[in-house]
Amino acid sequence: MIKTQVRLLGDLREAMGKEKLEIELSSNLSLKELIEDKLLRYEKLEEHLIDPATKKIRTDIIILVNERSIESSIESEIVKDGDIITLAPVVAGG
Amino acid sequence: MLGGYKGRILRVNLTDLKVSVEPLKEDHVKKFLGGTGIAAKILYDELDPHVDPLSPWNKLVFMTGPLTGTLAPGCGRFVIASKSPLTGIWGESGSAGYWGPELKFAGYDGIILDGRAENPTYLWLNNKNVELKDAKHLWGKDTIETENKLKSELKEPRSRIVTIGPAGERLAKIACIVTDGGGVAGRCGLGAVMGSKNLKAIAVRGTERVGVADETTFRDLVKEISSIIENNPRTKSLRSYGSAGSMEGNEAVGDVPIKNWTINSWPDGAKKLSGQYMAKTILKRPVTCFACPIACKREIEIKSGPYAGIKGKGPEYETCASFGTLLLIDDIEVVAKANDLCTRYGIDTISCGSAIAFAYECYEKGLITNEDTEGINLSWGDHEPFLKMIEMIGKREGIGFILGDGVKLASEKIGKDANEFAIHVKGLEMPMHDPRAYKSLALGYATSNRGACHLQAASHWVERGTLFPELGLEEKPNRFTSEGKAKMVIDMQNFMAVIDSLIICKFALTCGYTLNHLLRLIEAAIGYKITKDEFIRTGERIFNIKRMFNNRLGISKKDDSLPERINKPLSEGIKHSSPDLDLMLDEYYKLRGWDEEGKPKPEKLKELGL
Repeated sequence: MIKTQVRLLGDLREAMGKEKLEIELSSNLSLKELIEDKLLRYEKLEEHLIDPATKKIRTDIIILVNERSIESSIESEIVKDGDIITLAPVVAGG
Repeated sequence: MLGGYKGRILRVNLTDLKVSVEPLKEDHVKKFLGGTGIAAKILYDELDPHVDPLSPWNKLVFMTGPLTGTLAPGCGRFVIASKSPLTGIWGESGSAGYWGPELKFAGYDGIILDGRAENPTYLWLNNKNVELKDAKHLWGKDTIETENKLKSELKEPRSRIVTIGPAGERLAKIACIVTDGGGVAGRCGLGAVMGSKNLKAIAVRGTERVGVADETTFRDLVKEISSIIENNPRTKSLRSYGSAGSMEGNEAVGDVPIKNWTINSWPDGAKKLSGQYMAKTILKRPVTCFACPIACKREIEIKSGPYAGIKGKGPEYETCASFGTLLLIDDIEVVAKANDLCTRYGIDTISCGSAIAFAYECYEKGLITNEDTEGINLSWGDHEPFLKMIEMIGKREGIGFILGDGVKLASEKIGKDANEFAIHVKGLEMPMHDPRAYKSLALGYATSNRGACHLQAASHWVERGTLFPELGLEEKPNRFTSEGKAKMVIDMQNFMAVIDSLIICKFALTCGYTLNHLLRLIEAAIGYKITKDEFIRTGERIFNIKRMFNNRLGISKKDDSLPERINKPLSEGIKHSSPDLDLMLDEYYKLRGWDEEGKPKPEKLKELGL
């Protein structure tokens, strides 16, 4: 098992009422699997993370791993022990 | 006349105090649709390109679009265009609210103003009855007072007003035009053009609905689009937190300019300047524009402390950054107070924050001293000097006089190395998104016809994952690469030129509209079918006629540039990189059908019917 911290910004923090989630998961999981297996369990996060039209993870979520923004696919990004993952929704404005 | 339009343009010559009504030309409608498109065609045809923007011979055009005043969601906007006194080139600015629909209800698609009234004057349109009235008693009053006084003396509390404040009267080149107690057409200094014409305000009251070609289909479509928007999570977010709800996410990716673009990381500051923080502190309620289900505007009230009593329209993302992060101020109440001051004086908050940040840096580097600032210490993060500077800009006092003309002119007056701290493109201060975080923004800023603007293309939205599959933008591109970005920027510029002509709010657009909806709306509203290709071609035509307006004024490749500071990455903070503008520009000119100097080639103009 590996431990990661998920930092929530903006709407996600407000929805959950907390800034951080400590998550344990088996090794060699991708970011996509982390979101699907762990984060979507929280109903309050699901509505922010899932596109209502496609029912898939929204493409416009800001995702950073250890402050490095993820520009590649979330399927190919493997989560490592001690990673700090930051999530923020993109708002239309501004 | 075609559906959606009123078919009438009001022409007002303020020198002769003459008004006349002209038919809206069907050829203009077919080629340029409305809004920014028709305004560009009118000004290109009618304006002497070398006219002094603040002379009586400049023209100021207010335009609506075919969807303005209909119940299509997010269609309460209007556009104002002119030759900009701030940049000396094409100037346009839009505002939401209720004034645009009211103009349609009064029976007009637009107003063309020229000349200069001998004395302060305001225009009163009560349906088809037009009067030019004495505004001496309003001159010097702030925009909120002016609006309230006009509604009261006209005995028309339901009238809608656009007005300038003291900054526009005093011809500050960063002056804006204000409506509905705090909605603004902020950019390009069009408030100064209005002031130069001695025109304080335009009050409108109308009672005639906007008809469309196929009422049943249109109504069904509006219902369909409204339902999609209502159920989109972005809508809920914008309603709860406004545009500043994006502040923390933007900061996390290094998109927010901090301390005059020298820093890109300040998470604690961003949190305290966010829409989420505002919602817990000063937000009274979300407010909406005409026929919009989103309600992203903020109504705020400060109940205690040094700024107690401030209430009304609250700051949006751009203002939270330009008055917050750009100056290292992390107090939302100070930002709200500054926003209120700018609303009242009628000053664009982006340009104002940029001008003050520029002054702070000049002061820090010793280019200006206490002698220039009348003894005020300009220290990053301090509240009082900042608020004092806004007052000085609004009143055009002391150093506020030169700052009120924007950073480009101010840097030329201060001289030495001041231009290093003047962050603008073509004279328009850069909005609060960093091209070092989103490469397409660099090209968008460099080629935007009004100078630095993030909304003429809004291509950074694609780089952060808001996709437009019907435009072929189906995958989120890497935001750090410059290669291949030119086509995306062109596609988005052409698309947004149509959006600004119909006119639809771009926030509403990304909450659920599709291109298919737009094509169906146009057919149901106007009464003729246009294809996707014609839609995009119309946008291309509109973008190119504005470029031609600027080319005529000598704008070419040399001007499609970025401030030197933006061409260098920051060594600390969130990782980003400098954009390769030359590479993007070469690709861009080729794809646009422009020559190497950035002028549309004759065959391109022929293809576009220009």
